Amino acid sequence: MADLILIAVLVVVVTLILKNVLFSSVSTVDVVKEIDESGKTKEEEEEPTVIQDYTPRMLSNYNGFDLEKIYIGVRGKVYDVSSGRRFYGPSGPYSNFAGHDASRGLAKNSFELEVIRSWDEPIDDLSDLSEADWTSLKNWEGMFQGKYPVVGRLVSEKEYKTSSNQAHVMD
Amino acid sequence: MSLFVTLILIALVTFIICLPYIKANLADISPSFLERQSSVGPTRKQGESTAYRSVDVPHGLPLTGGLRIRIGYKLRDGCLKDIWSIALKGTSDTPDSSTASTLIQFDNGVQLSIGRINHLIHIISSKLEKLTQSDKIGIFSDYLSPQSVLLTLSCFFVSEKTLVNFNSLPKQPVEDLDLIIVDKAHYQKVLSLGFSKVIVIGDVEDPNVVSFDESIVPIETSIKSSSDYSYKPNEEYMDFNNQPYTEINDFREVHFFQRSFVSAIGARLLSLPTDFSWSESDSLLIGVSSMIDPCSKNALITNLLCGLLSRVSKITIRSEDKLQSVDQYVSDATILAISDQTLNRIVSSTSVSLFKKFEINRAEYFNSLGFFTTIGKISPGLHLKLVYSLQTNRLITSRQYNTLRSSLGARIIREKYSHVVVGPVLKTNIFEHRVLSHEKFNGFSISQLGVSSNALELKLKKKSDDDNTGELYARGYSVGKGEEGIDYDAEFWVDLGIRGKFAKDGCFYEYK
Repeated sequence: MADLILIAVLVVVVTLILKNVLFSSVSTVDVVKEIDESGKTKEEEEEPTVIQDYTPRMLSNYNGFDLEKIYIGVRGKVYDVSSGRRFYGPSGPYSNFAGHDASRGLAKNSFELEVIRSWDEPIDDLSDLSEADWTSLKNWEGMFQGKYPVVGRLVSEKEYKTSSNQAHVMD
Repeated sequence: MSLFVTLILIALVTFIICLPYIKANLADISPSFLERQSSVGPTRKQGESTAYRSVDVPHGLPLTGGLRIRIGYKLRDGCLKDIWSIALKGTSDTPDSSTASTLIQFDNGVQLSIGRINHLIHIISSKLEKLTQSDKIGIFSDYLSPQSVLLTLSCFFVSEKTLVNFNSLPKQPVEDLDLIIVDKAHYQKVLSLGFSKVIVIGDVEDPNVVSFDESIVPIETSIKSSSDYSYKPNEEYMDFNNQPYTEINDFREVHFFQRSFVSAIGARLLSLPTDFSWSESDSLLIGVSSMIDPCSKNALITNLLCGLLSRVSKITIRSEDKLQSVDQYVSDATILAISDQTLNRIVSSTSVSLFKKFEINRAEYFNSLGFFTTIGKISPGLHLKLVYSLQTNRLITSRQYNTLRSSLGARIIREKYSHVVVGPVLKTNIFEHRVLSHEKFNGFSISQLGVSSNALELKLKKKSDDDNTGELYARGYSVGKGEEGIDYDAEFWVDLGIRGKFAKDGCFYEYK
């Protein structure tokens, strides 16, 4: 009896293998699934950040607390420093920079609040910086350019009103 | 239950348990890798996609910029002269010496060693110096003649002159260009264009022109072999003509630089898995279109430079018109670089037995699953390890590519060329085996073109964010420089004239 069962099992297995090896047609991938936008996986739902203009008021939301992402302004550009959350995030050593224009602080190598302008103040034109301050600022900027993505420009409220790159995020 | 039955059952259960591991070991590549072939940038502009790069050179790491030539502990990107310096290694002054160096066989059957070519390109360079004071030499050719190829090598490796390659007849001569070298078939059209010197490749009975053989050098197989090359790689690597090549398409100039070439060659060769690297034991067959086709020329120059740098044993340049089936030329090659239409033609026109058709059919099944097999090889003499298929405008479907892979018993890398980029813009993964079920979507024919070359990044520009597809743009080391504002924008993105989209797998799919 056991032999018969064994033979039956073997016949089934061998038939299945031979069927696949000898008669199966080419395996295909559904192109619609590959191409179609609907049915995105969780990874694809993380859309790249759209590069746009930010006012200091809008930028202030990106402090890692009000909004999860952390942006800082350096010489008119806005950098997404979210990957450096341990530095710029809440309770990080440079957290004062989060959501602000950090240009003067980086130039002066100071992380104190007095070198950071509030969102309701005009954008710092940095006109009084010394040569040493500029060197320091440019070094920092080089580091930011190599490490963090630029997500937009920091513009005044007036410039923002005529901008073609207005942000979609509520301020 | 007898001992025999027990053993058989244990073996069966073991086999079933081990089956997933056996499958994983037999597969060319993990399916998850093919599902994520591009590095996707973190930001994008409105109306555009983010920048896509090959996963080999992800965002945060530099694109491949050159040949990575080592000087002590330092790496440098190299220049075209480095390629010739490497190709010449081991070359002897004795013509018939059996030292290992590359042989180049041209379409007309002429076969020259690297030593002889070295001697010829030095003669060409010195003759050109006497013939014109200009820094530029024009050429209008299909690149099937030895003269056109040797002239290119001379400008790249010896002469400091820029080669201006016309892909269509110019309306008027280019500034500072008084000498043009032209194929016999086209010389009469060039005569009226005002070039002060016209040199014809081939014999013509016309007192107004001189032939290449008369005025420069006859290409003879009995010519002297020479290994003399004055370039010192460790000292003179910054001493070169930075703009060795210009292409003219539709009357617009695109300039290419030393880095355009070395980055394209480096990106192409360094991205291959070790088992598929080009080596001295390889033989390369390059199919060239007999039409004056910028992409075919681009592919020829790229493949030729790759072959010289890798010191392959033989490079054969052959007109695609003459490649009708799997003949001796194809059988002798281990690396084949050819257009997709010709590849399809030579395979489909090779007659096979009924049993071989069955074997091909089974190979197609296994290959489509990612278990590469050579049982379907249509000729026992074939020993191809790698096939580069130049994707033309009449695209081959993924199902046809699966048949080609099975029939040739070789991996196929599909490449898309453009006249504004040296080397391929897009390439498929060497282990790409997926067959798309139906290559139609929303009324468009869809074709997989692959991911960006390692020397480039790509993005789409769309009419609006809601658009599903967009125009493909490229930026990187191998991109040529045209006219600002027309050929490239403020951020150096160049329009490639291809419409499509990047899919979830990171590959670009062309919509037609």
